[in-house]
Amino acid sequence: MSKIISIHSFRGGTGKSNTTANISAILAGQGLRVGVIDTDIQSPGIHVLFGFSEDEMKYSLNDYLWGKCNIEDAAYEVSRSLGGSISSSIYLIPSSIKAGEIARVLREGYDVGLLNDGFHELVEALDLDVLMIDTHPGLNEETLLSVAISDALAVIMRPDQQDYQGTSVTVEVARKLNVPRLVIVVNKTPLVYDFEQVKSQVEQLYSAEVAAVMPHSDEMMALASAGVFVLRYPDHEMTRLYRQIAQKLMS
Amino acid sequence: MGGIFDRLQDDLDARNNKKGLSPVDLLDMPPDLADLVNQIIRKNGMKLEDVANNLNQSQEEAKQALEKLVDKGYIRRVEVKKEVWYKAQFGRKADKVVSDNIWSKLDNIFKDEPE
Repeated sequence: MSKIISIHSFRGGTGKSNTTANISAILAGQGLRVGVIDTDIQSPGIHVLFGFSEDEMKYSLNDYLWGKCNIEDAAYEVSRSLGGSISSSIYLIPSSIKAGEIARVLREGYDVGLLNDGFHELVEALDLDVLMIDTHPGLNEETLLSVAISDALAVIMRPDQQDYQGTSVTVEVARKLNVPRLVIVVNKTPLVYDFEQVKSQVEQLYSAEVAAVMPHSDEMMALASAGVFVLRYPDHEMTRLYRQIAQKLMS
Repeated sequence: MGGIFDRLQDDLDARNNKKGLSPVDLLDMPPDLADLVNQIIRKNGMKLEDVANNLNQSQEEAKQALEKLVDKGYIRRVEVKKEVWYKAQFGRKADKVVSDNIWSKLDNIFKDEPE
């Protein structure tokens, strides 16, 4: 049975897209067919991690929402260009990165029901085992819909006081929407912190499982979104932690 | 009619949602109602018998409950292979309420952008 997984954070810059891309690569490396949809219509970016350029983008999620194409027409197989040990497929459904099209979505809105249909049609049309949803930070309609339909949700936060407060809002919303599986990922943790203490504090604060406390990584920063980390550094500690998160989301 | 929708009748009456459902509505619905609507969204539609099983009610009771939600514009009936399914009836995402001046300025900026 296929699974829908949303990766979300209350604030921007937490590493949502990186987490989505890395978990997708791990799952595809395990032989699963993975779809990745960028619902961050206002500020899309995950296509960069998959090395997917604007020139290759005939259709995007925006075109589907405007009725110009079927959702599967906006899906692109990106795993072959990634290298590494991916034995299955990753399909990316990008949002448009044309400024005018972003402005049009903001101005005109779109049919939210079409987005919901699109999620389900994608799973069926591409015979996906997993659909990963990369969301816009904070709370808006597409984020709430993504969370509502998810079998599992990873809330990403940094060990930062603003993130602590925002995460509590997100966790509360996820509980209200009865998400069957909720985990928290603490990302970009300074190496001077006591990781066990961070994990225990966060678990206690939200009464939710912490799937991993990820360290700040110079290698990740240096990669600068120019690739998928777990494929570049298969033996790195971060890669082991991404595998742990993937396993917890799928369990 | 028995079941949860008797208790929710006042709430449904208070909501005059003819513009369709927004995911935001799920946050302030009573938990029983939110749970049902959420399941219909998650499964992208449910048949009457599935709803009845889910609510542990007779099909007649479940149908009355669903029809109330149809009347309120939260869900709609869809015929699939001669069977009636109930699907969420989402409204259009609200346009951003900002000055028209901003949009016309953006139009001017982007008017030369290729399709």
